[in-house]
Amino acid sequence: MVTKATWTRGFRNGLQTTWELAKVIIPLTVLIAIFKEVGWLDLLAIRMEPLMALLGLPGEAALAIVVGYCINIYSAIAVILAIDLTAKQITIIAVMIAICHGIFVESAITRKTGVKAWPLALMRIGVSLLAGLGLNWLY
Amino acid sequence: MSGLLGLKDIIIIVLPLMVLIEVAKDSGIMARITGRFHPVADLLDVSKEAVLPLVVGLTIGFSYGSGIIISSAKDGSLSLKDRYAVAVFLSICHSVFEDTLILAAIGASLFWLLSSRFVLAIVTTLLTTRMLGRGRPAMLETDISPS
Repeated sequence: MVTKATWTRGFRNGLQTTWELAKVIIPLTVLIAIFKEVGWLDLLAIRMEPLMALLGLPGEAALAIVVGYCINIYSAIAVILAIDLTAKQITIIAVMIAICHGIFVESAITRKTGVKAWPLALMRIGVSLLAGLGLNWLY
Repeated sequence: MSGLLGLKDIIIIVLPLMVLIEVAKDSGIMARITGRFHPVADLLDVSKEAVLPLVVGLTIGFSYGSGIIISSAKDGSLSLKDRYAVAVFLSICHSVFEDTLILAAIGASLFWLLSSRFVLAIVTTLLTTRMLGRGRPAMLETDISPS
């Protein structure tokens, strides 16, 4: 039954999620701004350019993908917001990150279900890259 | 600065979304939506016991779905094939409401987010379970660690 408690619980969850997002997005935005200023982002972008070109993405997008794979979707969002991207490019990164994120934390959960975690993690990365390639071609 | 602007867009989505999820849960709408996902289990050719963790993980979240596998795998009601099927599917496609809407809030296409994840999860799961049926599943058997 929907009571007053339902609404307050929802509101509280909403604020909590926003707070979790803010905790990640604000410091990462500052960090990326520093990386940009120092020139590290350009350095990474140049290195990753050929690989990212296959996915239809600029070199800087590599940072969003790696951060998403290793940490979580929220951190990847912080990077996406910090770089200039088209709607198509945002969609490609978003799909790749949605398929594969938080590898370390989620592999630990997977292991508890009695399934080998590393082949699953590799498979996820593979499917994510394939999705990126496919979407660049299809979209 | 762009980070803060993006955050504002996310709040506009996240706050109503979380309220909506709670209302859907308490009004019984969530149970009805969840029921709609049962054909997914048929498509994946898993046993009846695997349906609940699959549906819960798909809609609510990976750790909730996995939690159900952990407790039911311990009493032996889920086969190795079922556990792999659910784990593979959920690792690629879980928390469809939350993940999808948050990414859509920053400008990603809702259609591609939902469809590509869902289709790829189904294909990968079917490939995995076919391989398990043929290969040496013992190789992939691991101990279920006490939580």
